[in-house]
Parts: sequence; C-alpha cells; structure tokens
Amino acid sequence: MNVILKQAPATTASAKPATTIGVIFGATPGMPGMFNSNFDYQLVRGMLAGAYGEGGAFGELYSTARLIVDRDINSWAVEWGRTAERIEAIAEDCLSGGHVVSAREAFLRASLYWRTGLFYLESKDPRQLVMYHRHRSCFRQASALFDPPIEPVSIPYENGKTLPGYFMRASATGGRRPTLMILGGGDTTCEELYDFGGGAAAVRRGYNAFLWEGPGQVGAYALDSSLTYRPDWEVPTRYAVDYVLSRNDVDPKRLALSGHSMGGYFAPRAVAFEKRITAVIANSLTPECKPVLLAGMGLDPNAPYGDAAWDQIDLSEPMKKYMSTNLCQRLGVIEGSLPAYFDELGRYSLAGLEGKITCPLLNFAGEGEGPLMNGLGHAFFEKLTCPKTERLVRLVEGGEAHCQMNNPSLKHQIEFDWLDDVFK
Amino acid sequence: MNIIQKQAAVATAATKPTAATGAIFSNSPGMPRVFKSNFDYQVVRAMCTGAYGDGGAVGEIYATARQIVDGDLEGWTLAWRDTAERVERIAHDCQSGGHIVSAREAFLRASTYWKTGQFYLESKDPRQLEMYQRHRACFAQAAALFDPPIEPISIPYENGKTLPGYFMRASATGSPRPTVMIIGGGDTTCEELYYWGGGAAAVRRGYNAFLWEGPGQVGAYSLDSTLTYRPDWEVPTRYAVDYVLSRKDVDPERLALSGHSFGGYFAPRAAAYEKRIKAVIANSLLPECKPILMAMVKLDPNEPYGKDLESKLDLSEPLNKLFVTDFKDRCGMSGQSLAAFCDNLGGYSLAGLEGKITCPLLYIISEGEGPLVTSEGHKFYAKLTCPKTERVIRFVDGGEIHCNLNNPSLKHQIEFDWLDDVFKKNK
Repeated sequence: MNVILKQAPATTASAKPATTIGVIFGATPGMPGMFNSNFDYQLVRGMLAGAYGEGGAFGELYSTARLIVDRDINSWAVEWGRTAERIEAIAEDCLSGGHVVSAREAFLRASLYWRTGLFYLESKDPRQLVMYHRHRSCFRQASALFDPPIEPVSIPYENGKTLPGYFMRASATGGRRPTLMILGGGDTTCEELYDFGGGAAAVRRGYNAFLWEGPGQVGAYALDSSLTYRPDWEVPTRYAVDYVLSRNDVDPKRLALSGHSMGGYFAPRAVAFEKRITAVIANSLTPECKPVLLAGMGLDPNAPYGDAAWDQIDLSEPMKKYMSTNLCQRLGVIEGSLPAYFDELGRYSLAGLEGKITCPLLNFAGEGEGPLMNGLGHAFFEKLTCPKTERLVRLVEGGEAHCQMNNPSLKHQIEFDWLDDVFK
Repeated sequence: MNIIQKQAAVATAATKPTAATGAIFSNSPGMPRVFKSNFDYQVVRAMCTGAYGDGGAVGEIYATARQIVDGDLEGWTLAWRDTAERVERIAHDCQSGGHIVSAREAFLRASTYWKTGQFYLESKDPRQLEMYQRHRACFAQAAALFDPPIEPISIPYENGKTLPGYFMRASATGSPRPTVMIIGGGDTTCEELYYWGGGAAAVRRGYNAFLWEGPGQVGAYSLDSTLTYRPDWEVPTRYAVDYVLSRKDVDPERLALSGHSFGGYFAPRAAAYEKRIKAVIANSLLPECKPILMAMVKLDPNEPYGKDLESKLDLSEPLNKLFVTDFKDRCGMSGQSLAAFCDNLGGYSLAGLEGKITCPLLYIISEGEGPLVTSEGHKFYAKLTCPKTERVIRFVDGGEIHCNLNNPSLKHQIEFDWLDDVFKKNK
C-alpha cells in the first residue's frame, strides 16, 4: 500500500505551462482564466452546478461571470444572486408542474449559485445569512426529490447544540454499506459536498455518503455563531461517528473520512484519535495551517508577523479579504490583529501525530496548489508509518486546482478506486 | 398548447448582448472564449461530457484547449488525441481493477475527446476513421457497464444496409415507457447523443431513449460511405420507427422524435410523413437549409453565385473548411463544385409541409444562433397548424448557443417537461 499512484506523464513542451502557481490557488492552464483574482476559482466551483447528472450549465456560469467586475465583491454577490433567483424560479415552476427530476436539478443549481454569491460576503453583511438560507433551503428541496431521499441530519453535539449534515443512502434496500464521511474546509457548507465533495459520486458507486460540518464551518457557524473552529477535531468527529454508527445501513468496518482544503488538517487529526474510522483521505494533507495561510495572505511564512504586516496584504484580492474577515470570525478571533490570528492558526498543527495515524491514508494534492503546500504535505506524508498512498495531480491532467475542483471526474475516480482497494 | 413559453427576463444593459452574432455560431457571453474560431464551440461540446454523473472535467478541457493555437487543425487533432489516449488508459486501468463506475465514466470522457479530436479532419485523412472507431469503441465499452446496459443497435435499412444506434432503457422491468428518438445533425454521431442529445436525461426521467443516425451522419457514413444524406428523411425514420416499435418496452402512444442542428430539418420533415411519431422537437427549426448553411460559412445567401464560389470562402475558419470537405462528402457531393453543393442543399426544404405536420411540435431557438436562423424558423413556425410551442433561449439564460450545448440542464428541463405535458393525454 505504501505507494505513489501512477502519475500522468509530465507536461509536454507544447503544453505551455506559462502559469502562475500560487499558494493554494494558482492561475493554471486548467482554469477558465476569466478573472485574475480568486473569482476564477470560485467560478470553477460554481461550474459544478448541474454537472451531477445533467450535463452542466456552464453557459449560465459564463454569462453570469461576464457581468461581474473582477475583484468587485458586491457585483459578484449581486449577479450570482440574480442568476440564483432565476433558476430557483425555474425549480419552483417545474415542481408545481410535476416535473420532479427537472425540479430537483434546478434546485441543485440554484443552491450552488446562492452559495457562490454569498462566498465573499462578511458575516456582518446581512445578505450573507439570507443567501446562506436560500442555499440551504434549495438544497433541502432538492434532497427530498431524490430516490431514496437525501436525509437532513442534526448531529447531536456538545451542550445540547447540533451540527448540520446529510445522509445519502447508497440504496433503499438497507444492507450495510461502506460509508464515506465527507468534510469540507475553511469555506464550505455540507450542502456543496454533494457535488465536489463526492456525495453523488459515492452513491453511484454503492457507498453511503455522510456530508457534514464541524464547528466553524460555514453552515455550522451561520446557524450558531458560538460554533467556531477548534483544533481538536477528534471531538466533533466523535459525535459524527456516533451518529453514523447508530445507523443499521452502515458497515462499521468500512468507514472512511475525507477532508478537503483545511479538512486536510481536520481529517488526519481526527483519525489520529478516532479509531473507528478505518481509512482517511486528505485533500491535500495540511500538517501546518499557519504557514499556508500566511503565504495565502501574501506574507513570508518564515518571517515574524506583527500588525505592521497589514501593509503587505493586498486586501483588494477577494480571497485575502475573505481570510482576514470571514474566516477570522469563524476561527473565533477578533478581527484586526494579525498576531492573534496567526497564533491561533499555529494551534492547527499535526506535528507529533505522525505515528498516531494508523489507518490507511491517501494524500491527494494538486500541482496548482503550489510548492509550499505540496512540500509541506509531502514532508509529513514521508514521516507517516501507516499504509499510505500519495497522488499529485499535475497540470497536464487538468485537475491541478485545489481540491481538483476543475476535474471532479478524475478526483472521484482516484478516491473511490483507492477506497475500493483499501476496503477489499 | 399553442403558446410561447415563458421567457427569461430580458438581458439587462450590463449583459452586453452586443456579442458578435453570426449565423448558427457566435461569440456570445455564455461561451468560454478560449478561441475566436469555431474551436470555441467544439470546446463547449466537449465540456458537457464528464458532467453526466460525475461533475465534469472542465480542467481537462481547458488544459487541452490551452495547448492549441486557434485555427491550427493539426494542433487541435494532436492535443485532443493525447488527452483521449490518457483518459482511455485510465478507463482501462479502472476496468481491470474492477472499478466499474470509474471505468464507465472515463470511457465516456475518452469517447468524447476522440470525437472532439477528429472533428475537423477530412474524410480522406486516415486518422478520421481511426479516431471515429476509438470514439465508438470507448462508448461501446461504457455502454456495457451501465445498468441496465445501453444496447448497441444495427437498424435494418435499405438494400441490406444498416444504420447505427443505441437503445437506452428507462428501466430493466420491461414495461412500456414513453420513448424519445434522438438524432443529431450535420456533424454528429449517435454516441454523443447520450450527452447533450438527451439520452442520459431521458432515462433519469423514466423515458427510453433511442440514439440513432440516418444516412450521411458522421457514424453512418464512416461505417459505410455509400450512405450519404438524403432530403426524404421520412425513409430512414420509417426504418428506425419500425425497429423501435418492435420492442415491447416502448409505448407506441408516447413516441417522440427530437432533432438537433441539421436535424431541425430532418425531424419536422420526418414527422410530416411518419405518423407513428406523436411529438416532435426541432432544435432549432431549419425550414430552408441552403440559405442558412451558406450564411453559416459567411456566404451571402441572397447574392446570385456563379461557378467560382470557392474563392469567396474563408478557409482559415475551421468550420468553413469542414463544410467544403467532410460535410460535402457526406452530402454525396464529393468532387463537385461549391456552387453545385449549394444547389444540392436547396433540396433540403420544408416548404409546403406546414400543414402536414400534425403532431405537437416544440421549437427551441437560441438567441446566439443569430437573426437569420431565428426569423426563418419563426416564420415557418407561425405557419404551422399543429399544436405548437416556441421557446427562445436568450443570452441571459446562458443556454443561448446552437443546440444549447452550454446549458444541457436547461435544454433537457425544457424538452422533457414539454414532453411530460404533451404525453399526459396519451397515457
């Protein structure tokens, strides 16, 4: 098992990788190239709308994107909101006309457009919560129209609180199935894990999927702002596993956890302690969140960070603004202090856990995430003693973006084929 | 039924619908704009592919497209071939590892990339046939991995010949279901109708789909080059309907025919004579193929042309070159002048059939197809006496391109919701 999966051949000379590989997000050849800012990545993320079954609707995406001024967060929110409204109206019409499949698919698209639109808004902007609720309610309306329906779940959590999730059954027959618990990262909701997270892909392959959020993630925090991120992710994971294993359609011997983005910290952290999980996917492995976020803000990950460093942060880049406002709030850190922010992120570290991760692990990275992330992940991977597999998706494969957002077909093929083999 | 469906809100001022609007193909806001030539449309066509089930692989498409110099047909062929080879290898690896769903999805993607790569090749280029066969073989391998499997069909046709097709069952139970017969147009294979043609969308909605080709279409001609296009499309349609109605899992009262592109001529033509078809979709309506196809290649359809029409054609546009090579061959006009070819296209006309089309008809027209196609189609539509529905897809809908290839979700929602309503009373 201790293997590096076969890589695609390196890019040919004609492939012109004249490309900016940044930290986490790069302007690589597999991207639309419509925006210079992080808008391009969020556009690709939106392009999954409609793509789980019905061929996609990227014309809807392109034509919306062409109305948006690069880096203008307000125009981003307004235009996606407009498209979301239009598609939600289609969904309602289809539903009232009895066209169930069309309704379901339009609700799914509308849900993702609401999500795309709210992305960069700050928590204090009232539109953020309104759009989140539209996102959630469209998804819920779609989920009721699946066969078997996707089940909304409230996971019992500490102090009488709950965490949001959805259970997708592989089949209605009820035999025990292998199950993948799917987590996002620093900017995700459990609803969108249906798409890029692998929910739909799981069910097609006979796996149950449990889409869920821990504290601090976008939906959990939107529903209860006392739920901020915590480094000891094994705690929320314990509650999630308790729920999943309470079901009689889950095979406890074949229970995997997959984490995306910041979930590349959460998932390995959780399995170091939560031994009921029998396989883990880190996409990609993030052993230290602090240097990655420092570099993501355009700062030197090795230099000291005082508040003087604010001058070096280009807040006109929407993702940097997002990291310093919205993400900061969900970490439970008061905005405005870089030392407080990065000190807090320093607690999100896997150092010392190398030997405690014992189940099989897949480290899944994209070349477009850049050498810093690729390097940190690989260095940690090298120290692991569990059965392990590493797969770097290269530029030429067109799945090089963070979390393979631009090639879920390839992502899910790699993930589930690996799980099939692990669970044999 | 005689209605114009509710339209999306008109584009706001900011939508800039000033996008160059040509005939059939244009550079509208819902396009990727990686290329200025027809390459851009073919990129979109490939983008539909992985999206039937597994979220798509837009990165694979962008990464391939970015290796290609606009207008360079050789570069186009080679870049897509490399990607097709790579993805086909993934499919084989998945299959030998027992990962059936992953294998099926990779075969589907590879199949499309083979088709995309061979698109602009001339019939005389040996790679054209070879890449077509790879396209077909990948699809056939995927087809066997569906549950129930997609069935490859040879439709008995004239003189012992056959036409290619696939039957997709809505369910394995065998009870009679509504069925949509799907055809492409001037540059399509029956395999790719699985995606944007509506095959997958049909099955998800409880319809059987029959993906098929008539003579002259890309697969039929590749398999037998005596099979060239013919205007009397009711003849091949009769054979196709004979096959479909020979099946016990088809409800004969709910049998539809949907035609795309050049199929916007074929489908209404067939329905005028073949009364076993109970509903027809024209996407879009092509009542006169000659002026529209001439305008498509930037020839003025109103200008009288002499013998030397060749010199007026800009062959640096890949689509124009395809028009006078591969497409002309498939029209049975190989070796003939462009003027003779245009005369031949004059035979593809729906004039006089307005009153003979009696089943309900849905006309889908896209703003990006340009004013000529829009007005010609609408004029014919206005004369129809059958129950009829017209749906214009605007720029703001993001499905504004020819056959709505940039928004199959919207396309299939419109088509199947309409069929649901039409067939309610045939139950």
